[in-house]
Amino acid sequence: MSSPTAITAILTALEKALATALRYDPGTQAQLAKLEGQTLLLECSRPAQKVYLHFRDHGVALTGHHEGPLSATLTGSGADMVKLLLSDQHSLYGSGISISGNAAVLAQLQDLMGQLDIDWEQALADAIGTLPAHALATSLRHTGAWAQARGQSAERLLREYLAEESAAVLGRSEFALFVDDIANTRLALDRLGARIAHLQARPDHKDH
Amino acid sequence: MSDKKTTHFGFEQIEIDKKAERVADVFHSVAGKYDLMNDLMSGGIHRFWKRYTIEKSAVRAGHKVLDIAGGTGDLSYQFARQVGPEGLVVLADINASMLKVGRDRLIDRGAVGNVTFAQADAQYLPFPDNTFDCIAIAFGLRNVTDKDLALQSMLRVLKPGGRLLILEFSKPGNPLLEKAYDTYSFKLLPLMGKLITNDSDSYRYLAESIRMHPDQKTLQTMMDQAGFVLTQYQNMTGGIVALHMGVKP
Repeated sequence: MSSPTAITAILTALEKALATALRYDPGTQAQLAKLEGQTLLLECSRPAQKVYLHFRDHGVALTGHHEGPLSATLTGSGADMVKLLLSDQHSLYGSGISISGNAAVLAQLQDLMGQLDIDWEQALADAIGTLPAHALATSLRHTGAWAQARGQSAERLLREYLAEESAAVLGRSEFALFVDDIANTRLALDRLGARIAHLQARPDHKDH
Repeated sequence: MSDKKTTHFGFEQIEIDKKAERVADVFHSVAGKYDLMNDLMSGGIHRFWKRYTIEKSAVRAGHKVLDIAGGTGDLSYQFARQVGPEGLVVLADINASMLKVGRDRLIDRGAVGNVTFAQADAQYLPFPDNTFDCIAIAFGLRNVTDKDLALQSMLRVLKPGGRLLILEFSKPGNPLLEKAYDTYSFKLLPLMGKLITNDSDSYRYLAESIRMHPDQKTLQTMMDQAGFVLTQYQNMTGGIVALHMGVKP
């Protein structure tokens, strides 16, 4: 059994981080009213731990123990749950997650996560002052945009090199042709199989 | 030899009717800096122990909760949020100084309307039978002179189906941890008490009283004998602290 002290400490830290993030995103915080009074259970298989999300007082409280009614229960691995909550995928197909209870709560939560727009610059300003925060945020934004552009460029160059120059991997178009060939071969085999079955079914057919 | 009944006050044996007075002196002395000392003594972990206790209480809106030895009101504040305006929390403490600090803190934090205060002895709780849905006593039972009497009193004022939670220092399960904990309690703790409240004796008493408190199994048996059912305990931080739970049948 996991240590209740450690779990409580982790959940307290997460709850505080969430509260801080929501403080810098008043829009999302106001939207939390839609979920007021709901309790969502995340029943995590890896690591084996239950986490209850209680939506109350325009915030989210996290606990490891709850004995009241539940709005919905999500079951799956921790990684799959985080992926699902952060994605805009509304179907659970292929997510590795199952849900019981009111699925609308999950959809509302995903919508809120998708709208999350934390004012990091304001958070920085509270810590280090308005002018330094603006200078730092501008610099970080430029660096981020530059890094993103370089990252995309590097990815494209690497993809082209691997596919075209070194021929180490198949290019996207070659792979598509290969998949088409397989599909055509499968269809031809199906037709051949059907033809053989038809011939064998003829009255004049004799087995030797 | 005197035929007067005695009890322990830390490692000291004293006359049974003197214990409440001596414990009161300790808490009068530390009341003002009780929270600060708790944070320093436990490294802030006491907040997680208390939070876990709140979770296990399963207190809901409209419930009546008694927080015995509630001291500076940590549990009462959270209980007041859980029970809402329809519920009631009674913060009880035998010590007027601790009660005053708790009352001021709760009012400062906005916990008003559904919280009342009572200077009460856990052995003789001044409430009608079957009053509370939940009773919690955090780090208080070890200071009570007659623990069996207090448990019976708590059973009486709980509603049938009501839950008792006892959060208290206990016996670490690991001998190495116990040794380290002993060194910390008897060397470092009185020193910190001396530095912060200029009162090492009170903190020496706190450490000694922890050692004299019944271990996990013994306390569970005492709860069974008092009449509680479904008794269980949960060790925390290696058994340094244990949360005991029982239900009134």
